Amino acid sequence: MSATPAGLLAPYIVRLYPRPWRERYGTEALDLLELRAPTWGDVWDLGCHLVYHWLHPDVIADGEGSSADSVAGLLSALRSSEIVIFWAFVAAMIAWLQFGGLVDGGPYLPLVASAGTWPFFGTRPANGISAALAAQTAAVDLAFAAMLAGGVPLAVSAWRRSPAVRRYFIVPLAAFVAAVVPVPIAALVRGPVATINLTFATPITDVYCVWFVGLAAASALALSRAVASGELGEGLLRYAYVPSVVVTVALLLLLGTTIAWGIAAHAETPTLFDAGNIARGSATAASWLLDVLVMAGAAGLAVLATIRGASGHAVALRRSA
Amino acid sequence: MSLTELGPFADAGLLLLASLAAGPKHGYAMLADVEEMTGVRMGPGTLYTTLARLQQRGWIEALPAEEARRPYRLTEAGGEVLQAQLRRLERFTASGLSRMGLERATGGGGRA
Repeated sequence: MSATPAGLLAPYIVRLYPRPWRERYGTEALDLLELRAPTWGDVWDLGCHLVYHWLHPDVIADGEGSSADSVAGLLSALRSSEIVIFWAFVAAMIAWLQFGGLVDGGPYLPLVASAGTWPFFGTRPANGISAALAAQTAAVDLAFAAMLAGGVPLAVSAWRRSPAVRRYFIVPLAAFVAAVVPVPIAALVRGPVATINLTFATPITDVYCVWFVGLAAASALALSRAVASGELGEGLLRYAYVPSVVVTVALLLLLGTTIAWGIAAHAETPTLFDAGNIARGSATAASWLLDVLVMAGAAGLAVLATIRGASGHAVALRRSA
Repeated sequence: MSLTELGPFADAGLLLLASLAAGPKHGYAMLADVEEMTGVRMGPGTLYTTLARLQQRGWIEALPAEEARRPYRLTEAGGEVLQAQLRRLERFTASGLSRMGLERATGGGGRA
């Protein structure tokens, strides 16, 4: 093995390739790297193709994806893509809820207004902030609708066809109860729910927000485990890919409208946007930027998963034809 | 059947098919051969992605491994694809040289 830094790094990159690739080419690729001292160019080349193979699992499919193992692998990639998109959705929605804390009940609320009524599309926003929020709401509605359209049939099918995975569904039910119960308790202790500031403004709401995010993550993990280990039909996986693509598009729209909101807020109320109590609930550039970063990560992950799932979806379509 | 089916890997596919036209080779031998033929240093990632694409279309096939090295050979279909592409390149080269007013080199590196 070459003792150069590139020579030491290259075999590790080979080990990061997808399993089907390693089973077919791994041994000879490592042997080749022994014979030829890898350069940084080779490392770059291996890295680029590493990404390519993770995004295109069909490349290693035998005989244009006809062998049983290859088809199973591609369908597995399709299923994992849909689960990753679900996770991206959950992350983006948590960021969106945090973003809502900036707007709902915050200093921006008085600025959200309509300038009149459009003949066909409801109210006409009075300013950039209102327009961005209206578009953002549409993106969230689209994401939710697509997630329900794709996710509910998958979850129901996993429940019905795989009794062993039913225990996973206890987690979201328990999480729902655990998320709801503190609200009336807080109302009893601190007054009506409407007066509770849900914008990370007090230690107790900080704790609740962390609790809420933890419950959401646990629920998402349990549901994705149920779908990952449940027996799901090829047709259902093929169907669910379409809503998952819509979710990805909606997450990109959510990201775009959230960025647009920040630009509008900076332009229209610079003192409010640029100053403020950073990350403590008031509308600030820092907390907006944090939300944008989370949404960008979620949308990017969803895009990659969509590309990766496309091969499996194509195989499923061919087999159904 | 055409090399354009390989999309961004068409050029690498042509080089590997041409290398295998001289007989079965394993990966390292192909890279060395390509570098000797063209001066192009092909990366290992490009090599194995292109080999997978060529295998997927049945233009090459893997032979039994010799220890860690697996040789590949050109199939009949692969030979036809290679020949068709080389003919196209030959016509392109002749046309290009003719348009430049240059006599086409016919062996041994002739010039205008």
